[in-house]
Amino acid sequence: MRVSTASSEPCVATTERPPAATHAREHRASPARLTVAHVGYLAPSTNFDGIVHSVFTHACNVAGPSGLLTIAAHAGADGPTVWRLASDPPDLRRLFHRGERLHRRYAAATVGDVVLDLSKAAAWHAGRWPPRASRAMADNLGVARAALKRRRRGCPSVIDRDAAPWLRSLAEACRVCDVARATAEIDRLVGKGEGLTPAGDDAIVGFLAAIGALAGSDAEQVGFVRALSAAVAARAARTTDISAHYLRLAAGGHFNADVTRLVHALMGGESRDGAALPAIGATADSPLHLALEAALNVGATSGADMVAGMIAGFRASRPANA
Amino acid sequence: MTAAANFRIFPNLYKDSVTLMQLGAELRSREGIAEASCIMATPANLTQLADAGLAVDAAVAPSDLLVVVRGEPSACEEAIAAADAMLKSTNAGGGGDAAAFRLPLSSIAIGLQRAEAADIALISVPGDYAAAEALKALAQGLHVMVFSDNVAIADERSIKDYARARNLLVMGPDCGTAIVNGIPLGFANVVRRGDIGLVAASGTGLQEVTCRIHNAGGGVSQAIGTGGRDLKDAIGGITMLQGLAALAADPATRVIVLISKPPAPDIAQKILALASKAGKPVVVHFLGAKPESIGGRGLTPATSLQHAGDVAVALAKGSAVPASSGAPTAIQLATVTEMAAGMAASQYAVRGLFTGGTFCYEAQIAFRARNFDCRSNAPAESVGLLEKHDGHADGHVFIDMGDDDYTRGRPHPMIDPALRNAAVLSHAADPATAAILVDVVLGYGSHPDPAQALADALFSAQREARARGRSLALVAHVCGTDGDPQGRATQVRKLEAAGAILAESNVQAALVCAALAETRKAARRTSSSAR
Repeated sequence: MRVSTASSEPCVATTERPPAATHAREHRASPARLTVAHVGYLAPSTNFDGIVHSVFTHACNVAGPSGLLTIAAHAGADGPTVWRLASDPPDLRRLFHRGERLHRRYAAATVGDVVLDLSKAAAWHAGRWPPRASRAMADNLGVARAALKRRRRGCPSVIDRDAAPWLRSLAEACRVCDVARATAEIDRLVGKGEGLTPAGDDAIVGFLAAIGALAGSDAEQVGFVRALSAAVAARAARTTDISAHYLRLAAGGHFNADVTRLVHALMGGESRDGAALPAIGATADSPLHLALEAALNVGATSGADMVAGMIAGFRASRPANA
Repeated sequence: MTAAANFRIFPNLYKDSVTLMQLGAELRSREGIAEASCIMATPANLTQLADAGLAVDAAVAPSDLLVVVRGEPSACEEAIAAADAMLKSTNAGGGGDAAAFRLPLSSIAIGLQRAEAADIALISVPGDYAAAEALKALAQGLHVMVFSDNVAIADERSIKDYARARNLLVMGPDCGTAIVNGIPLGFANVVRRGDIGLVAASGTGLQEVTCRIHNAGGGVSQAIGTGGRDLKDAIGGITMLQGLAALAADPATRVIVLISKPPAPDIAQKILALASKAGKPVVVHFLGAKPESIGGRGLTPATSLQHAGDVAVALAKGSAVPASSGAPTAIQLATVTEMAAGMAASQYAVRGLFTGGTFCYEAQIAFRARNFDCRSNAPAESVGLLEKHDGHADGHVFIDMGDDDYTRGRPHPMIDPALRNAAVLSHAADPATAAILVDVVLGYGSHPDPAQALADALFSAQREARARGRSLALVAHVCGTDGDPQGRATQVRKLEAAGAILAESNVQAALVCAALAETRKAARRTSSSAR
């Protein structure tokens, strides 16, 4: 799941509503107004109508003309199909309800009596993958593995149990560009695991990001990534609606900011969304640690599963451009 | 412990993985529970459940949450109830839970994502948009059935050309019936699978012949609808030619049936030429065409829809081909003769009130073949146009109540019988009416109990007529099979109970009415000369 739902995240009540209004819809005296800070590059750019598909504490998914659009609290991540708010409303479930209609008209969108102001929104673009991996990547992957191990304590995942051999086999298939074997493992992984985005799907997203970033101009690797991506897209219907959306995006080479930042951090380059990343270090506030923490905190186990997939992908890829 | 499995589906409910793992652990810790699992119902997870002996025999979707427990029956029930309470609690799962709105299937692309193996799209949108949707489906490599009507004929030609270039089939526009690989599409009946393949430019014609094949002991491999305009000059019979070629190449099809109103001559020639090269017997029924106009190697002309079905079954079984079929039985003739004898002097006219356009057309042909003048709102060749159809027309009248005049802004009479029932009462009140001829079409898409819906009107019609010193002949035919949701035998019994004379087929029903009309004509002549 590429939207944060962890209840431990800090939530700041900055919803721009009149002070007298309560958060409960039934008691709301006047419309709530939320400012959208960033609009993802694949979000619909013209007027459209959508329908609220699902609502979480910090994210609301809207079924639009070309798939899901996520309205995410500011604490969440930017993404290709994300409208990231300028504020952190305490609980989006009090503002949006599934089945409600969203109408986007020019610089504003309405959902019930909530108005989303798009007039000040900046476009969010992921940018390009780093041209090559730095020599520090191996060390960075070690740091990531240690962080993942810590995270897994008391919070196990099917990726570490039943699905572990499949992920290993996927990595081995990737190493030799064996599309048939890799596709067989994708068959097993898609939709595997508990939760709103099954662990197998999260791992696939991380894996695709890693192998896509490292493929560079290696024709064989690029061909393999394309074939594997097509296989993932063709199997997306086998999982939940939300997870399927992220699988399709990943198959198209599109990832949320928490994924792209971690790719850049692990490869030792600049962040994909433009924020400069200094050299990799092991201090708690280093870009790698910040990127890891942000990724691992996504969902209950989803972020960790994505990181597991990404590590497997980086280890599997031939570092020809390293 | 007696181990039993119990499960509950929570449609479109999302919970984060930790919540589900905790819930699973809580359920497993309960006394009497051997195993428990709480997961999203993705195929991968369902396989895992089956491997663990927790297979779920129910229709589920990947976005459904599934709770499965195994153990003592009473413990399972309690565990499921506890899971239900916990999952429905708003506090469960912190921020990671939500009931999701099922993504609407708002495009063909989304439909394809849900059903990867699909190879056909059924388009049923307002006519102005149907061609565009058909092109989208064709571009995705799908065959198309266009149920929509009111599609411009130029658009029909464009989409059929586009499809033909990609070796894809466009059934329609205005294609109401098809049976593809045993799956009924649109208004279609439950028929046995078999070795007879059909291509038809007529929806109810296709229904009548497929039902006749089934009821005569045969079976259908494929039934392809072309839409009513396919054999016009502007289209050139593209779909019928493609369908014919497909059936010729289909090893599961041993006999082919072609059904249409008479095509444009050039197109008829093309179709018959291709049919004669099919390498298998082809039964051809161009409604109203002279049998001698249909010639070619392996071609057998049929004289009616019923005859087409009977010939096809005979060819498939290798038995003798009947020269004709559909003639009224001796009992039917005796019944109508007796009824005619008891009618008032004013009664002479037959009023056919049809839900199926082809049935209306076939009845007109049957009447014209017996030199009766008749009129219709959808006239066959040499039949007069009925401009007013308010129940007080003169002479024999055949009304297609599925025509646009009747269906604009309201459901088709196969679905909503109200308008036809009103017409039955209206025509029954006409002193000239001697017989009311009706069709009852069963199958998917049709009214759930059309005979009962009609029977009430037939009772009332007969009662009103008797009150005015007249008696009516009510003649009906049921197009359907006993496999249909409504059940043919049940529907027949209901109509018989309402006093209707039941015919085996539409053509037989029309011929029964023609016999009655002849009797009434003779009686009136005798009465007139006596005066």
